[in-house]
Amino acid sequence: MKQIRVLLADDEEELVSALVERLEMRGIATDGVTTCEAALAMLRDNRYDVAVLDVKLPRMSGFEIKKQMARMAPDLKFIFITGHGSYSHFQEGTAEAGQPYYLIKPVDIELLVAKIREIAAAEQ
Amino acid sequence: MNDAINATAEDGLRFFGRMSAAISHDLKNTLSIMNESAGLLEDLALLAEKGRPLDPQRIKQLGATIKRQIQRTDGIVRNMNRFAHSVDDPVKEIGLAASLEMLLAICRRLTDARGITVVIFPCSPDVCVETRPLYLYHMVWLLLEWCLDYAGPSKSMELRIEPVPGSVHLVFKGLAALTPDACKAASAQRRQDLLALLGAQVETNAGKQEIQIILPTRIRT
Repeated sequence: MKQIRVLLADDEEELVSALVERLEMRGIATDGVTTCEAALAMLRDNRYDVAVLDVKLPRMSGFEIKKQMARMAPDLKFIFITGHGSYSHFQEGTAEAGQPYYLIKPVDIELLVAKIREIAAAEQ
Repeated sequence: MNDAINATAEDGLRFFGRMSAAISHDLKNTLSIMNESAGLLEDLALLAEKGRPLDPQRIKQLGATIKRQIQRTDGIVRNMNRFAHSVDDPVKEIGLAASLEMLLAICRRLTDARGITVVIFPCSPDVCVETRPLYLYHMVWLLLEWCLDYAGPSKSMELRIEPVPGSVHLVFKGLAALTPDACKAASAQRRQDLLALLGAQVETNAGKQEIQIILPTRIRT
């Protein structure tokens, strides 16, 4: 089975470190960053299958960073996570990411893992 | 006249909703960190059951993270409670430094999203004003949001509380990108309804890179 590589970006450092560790424990190689600049830098130097992005990153929304990342890595797939739970944000997110790949915080780790595996498999 | 009052009230409600949404977003984040930290503790316990040694340092670290996030959540809820009570009395005496610190804490995610740091410089002792708290917070937020476009390359600005006899100046400083044209445009868009309700004025000064609200210490009702 192909090793899935994930890039995780969220501005909450403690959330990133815990999620990275939990994803790694489930066999998903994950790099975590807390800024959009760091996310773009990581993508320049590495290859990833899936990017898991917070919708609200400082200085740039997850949707804006998605556009830049998609230009840099056209095969990269995206999952958005957000603390917003409003319907308008949900609509915006689903339009950008497709409903199955838009998760509301706090995220269930097994659901996140399932979505990552599903989206990575769809890519192949 | 009634239409004007209704528009101000509707807009005030929208502001209240926006701040409430910012608070809920902050709460979702602290809950997420606690959720992942607790989940990680569970994962480590399951691995320990399968024979992997448990690192006491890591457990302590995760416990400390959860404690820190509980304290952070408590601060958010305290601010939320204080903000919610700002509508209890139409006119009320408030301490400006504590009130504006509360407002800036609620807005932090919104200012952070623009990559801008806002530092408050209170005066000592704190100034108390008798005002309409919700309208004051709304006015301060509108100006703050406007100022974010003019913060300049340092990406930081100051909010200074400067008392003068009979009034208090709330000065947004460090607006390096503020131009005379922007000042003129701001005058045209100024929220006269809110200013009238607060008995306040707004002055811009592109040369000094600042904008200020001149607020009476005691509102005339």
